[in-house]
Amino acid sequence: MQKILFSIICTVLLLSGLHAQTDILIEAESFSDKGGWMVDPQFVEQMGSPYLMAHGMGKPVADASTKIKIAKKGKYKIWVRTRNWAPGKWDPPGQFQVAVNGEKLENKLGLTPGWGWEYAGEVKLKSKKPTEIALVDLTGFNGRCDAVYLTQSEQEPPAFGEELASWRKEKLQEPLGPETTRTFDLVITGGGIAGCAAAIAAAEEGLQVALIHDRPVLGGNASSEIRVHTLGIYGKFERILKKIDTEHYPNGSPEAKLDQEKRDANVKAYENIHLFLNWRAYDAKSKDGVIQYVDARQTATGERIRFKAPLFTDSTGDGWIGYWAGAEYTYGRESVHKYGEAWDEWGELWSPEEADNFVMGSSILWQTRIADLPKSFPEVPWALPVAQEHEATAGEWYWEFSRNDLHQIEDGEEIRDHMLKAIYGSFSNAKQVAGNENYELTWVSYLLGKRESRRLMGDHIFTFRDVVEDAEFPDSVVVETREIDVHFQQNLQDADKPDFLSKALFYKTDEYYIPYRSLYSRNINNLFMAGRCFSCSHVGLGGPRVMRTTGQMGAAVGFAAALCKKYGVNPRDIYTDHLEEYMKLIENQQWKNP
Amino acid sequence: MEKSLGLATLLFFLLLGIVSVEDRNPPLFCTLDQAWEAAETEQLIGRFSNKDTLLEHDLYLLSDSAGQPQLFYADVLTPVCIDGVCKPVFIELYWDLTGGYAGYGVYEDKPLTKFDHDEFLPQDHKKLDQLLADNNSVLRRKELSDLFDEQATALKKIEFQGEELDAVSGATKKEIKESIVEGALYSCYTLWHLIHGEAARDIEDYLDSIYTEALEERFLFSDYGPYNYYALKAMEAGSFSQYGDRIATIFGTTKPLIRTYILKKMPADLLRPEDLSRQFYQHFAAVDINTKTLLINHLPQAHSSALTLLSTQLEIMTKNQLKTYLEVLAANGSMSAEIRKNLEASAGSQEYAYGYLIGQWLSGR
Repeated sequence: MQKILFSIICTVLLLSGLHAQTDILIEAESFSDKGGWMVDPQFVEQMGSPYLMAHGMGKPVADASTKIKIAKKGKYKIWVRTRNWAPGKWDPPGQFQVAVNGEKLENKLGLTPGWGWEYAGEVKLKSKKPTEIALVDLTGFNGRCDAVYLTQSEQEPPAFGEELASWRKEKLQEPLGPETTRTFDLVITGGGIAGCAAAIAAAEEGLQVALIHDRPVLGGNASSEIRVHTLGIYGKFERILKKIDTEHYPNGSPEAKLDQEKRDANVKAYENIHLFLNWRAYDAKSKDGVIQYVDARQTATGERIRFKAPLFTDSTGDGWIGYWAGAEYTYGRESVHKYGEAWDEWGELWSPEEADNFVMGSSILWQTRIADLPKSFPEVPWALPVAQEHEATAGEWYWEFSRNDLHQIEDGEEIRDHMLKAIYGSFSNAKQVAGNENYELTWVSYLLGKRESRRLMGDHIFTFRDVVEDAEFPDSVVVETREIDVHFQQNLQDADKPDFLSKALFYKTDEYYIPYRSLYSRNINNLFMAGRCFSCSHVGLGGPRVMRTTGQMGAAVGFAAALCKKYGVNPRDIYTDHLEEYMKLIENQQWKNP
Repeated sequence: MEKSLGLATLLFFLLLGIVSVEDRNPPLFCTLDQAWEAAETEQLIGRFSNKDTLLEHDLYLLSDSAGQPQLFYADVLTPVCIDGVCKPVFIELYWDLTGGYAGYGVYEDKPLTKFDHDEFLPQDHKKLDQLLADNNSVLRRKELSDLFDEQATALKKIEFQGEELDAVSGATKKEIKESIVEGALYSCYTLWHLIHGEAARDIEDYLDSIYTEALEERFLFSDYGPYNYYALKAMEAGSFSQYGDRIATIFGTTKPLIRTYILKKMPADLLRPEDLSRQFYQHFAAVDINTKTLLINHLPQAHSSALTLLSTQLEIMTKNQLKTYLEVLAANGSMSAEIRKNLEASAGSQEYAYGYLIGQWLSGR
């Protein structure tokens, strides 16, 4: 893949004499050698950009570095956009330094709360020789660097908001629109289980499919990066879903890596699935209720592509495509009265009398091992206000965080960081207990495994009533038998419990069905949705949010897209005009040989 | 005359099936021990069944001398079986008036035993009490046959690429093991389902039939949280102001779920009077974080003194709570010298992570 480093763009422009710039902005994620730093694109919409993070679980990671050439020799001030992610009465946990040509600059970084520019120091640079800029991690505890800015000016760059965004565009010389446009039959954003299933189904029916995913591997919550096992049944789509699902290993197990290989290989085997890994969509434009295109950016190089198609699928989980395109959506817990979703046994915990935003939380899974020799673990005073006295050597699904002042999308970084503190603090506490000397952290995800966020609204809103009343629909395309499973935070019932642990409430059910009408937007004519952002209520999401069920949604959407193409129609028309053919197509899937 | 009146009363009670409780066996555990002490009569109100044994058991309402309902009770003899081998379990079960678990008792000559016939030790009883008190126990969604499979597969270590990892094969098995009395899984299972099964639902229905304004008031003023919650749920929001002081007291002592329920249900103007506003906001520092959020969200409807009171508590606010507080302050227009002083102090505090947001806000004004 063609890589474009912004630093190189700047350099070329500088050397060609088009701009006599005396400053260079380097996006950290574009560093040519990322060392042990991870690209984290999860919070772009909130803080402005993917960033590099030193996720070393307490051991400093290898330096990230890149080379630049400057146009004009002289003294440069170096600013770094970063933050202290755990501010308080202790040394900030995520400290790092910048080294220029092997020499560390004086100031430690990662010290100020909130994203902003910190001054790293001043260097004297020559214009002829390439300059190496490196990020030197000091702690292994999630130091983060968004960008490095070298300037001969005395002025500090703008810290946040619109001012920062436009400054950034100006410095990166970014054209208004993407450089490239690609056209497909179907553009799917989000390569979780639902997105993958949609891509496979559509590809098998001959569509040219773009699958845009912001990670290097497919599967979303089921990927080896998050490691939640898939639950639910296959419905009519066993053949397809078996290509991408997981075994029932414990959540967080490294066995996820085997399923990862299977999934990636199976999806890549389809020639007409055009896979865009490490591409994150950042915009979708609609006109008269029809999406015209989705724009996406390569998470490391910043390269951009405009994706055009007659049909789009939102499998982002957070409903981003719908959100940008103006689709109607909802977030939070509805009042119990809105759809009649009471379960008296659990009252407010199940569905509140007054609507609120106390949704199910996000998880970070983690893994330890018992080593042959004792293993040390650094002190983590900054984690203890969260972990408190809790001790743990393993995590599971109930390591989950939601709070009524936090939004699962807008406050995602705080939620992730809270979970990191919970894990590091609880593990540190456990390490103080005799007998645990040999425990060692082997893996902690840095990606949020989200359960609930935006839900796009379709012609049908799937609710708990559909389950209780055994509702069958003429367009039942998803079938499930797993319990409706709604989570709440343990500290709601007992204030002494850690705030990062949840409990589940299970409503046992026979088969229930989800209609096709819950899988396309009610006001954006060419938008499907599959995954947790499908059209449902908070309680309605409780059951079908698990990944074989969302996979069924994806497959159903993929086949619908094929019929849309065949007749040149929109998703709703499949229900109104081609339902018989569609249901036959779905029904026939279960008889197809592997 | 007195004698005939007493006879008539006795006849009346007998007609209702109400008889005096005699030779009472004190329970091992009872969350409502005063209610148990007060109980003098029992009335058969129905029978409940156990889906696993298909046996039916009598359910009684225990009342005090004034006829006030106190507890529900069942004297249970049930077989606990595994692989066709059964043993009898004798136990007295107690429920509160809402159908929640209240305690249990055993007979001295019929102790609970484990499957190896060892008698329950005190710590085993403690664990059983904890299990029965957990209405969301992992046993809730298990069939007996599931448990047999679960126990057959011991907790195992997971190996991956030759490395042994510390993981359990499914959280459920670990949860079951941790929550039950070891060696008495089937007794635990049977008793949990007796407590939380049909009987609990029958009691809820029965409570509906005897619930009066007097009982509502008794519930509201009770020291027992589940009764407070029941009364608050049953009460119209419009009645909250009538019991404002009592509700504020409950708010200060109850668990987060009920606190948040109160704040969400209360009429918007309940916090308008200065005295009641203070009664709620004085708990700000002590209450849980979700309740803090709701208190801050209610500031626009509360007496203005609440803004001042919270200006002394800025440094325990989360980032979003602080933002909301500052928004309310901005919408309020003018700001007192006291609030400004407190804001400035917190803005400059080295201890507070979000002091910089206050600084930005102040400089933007």
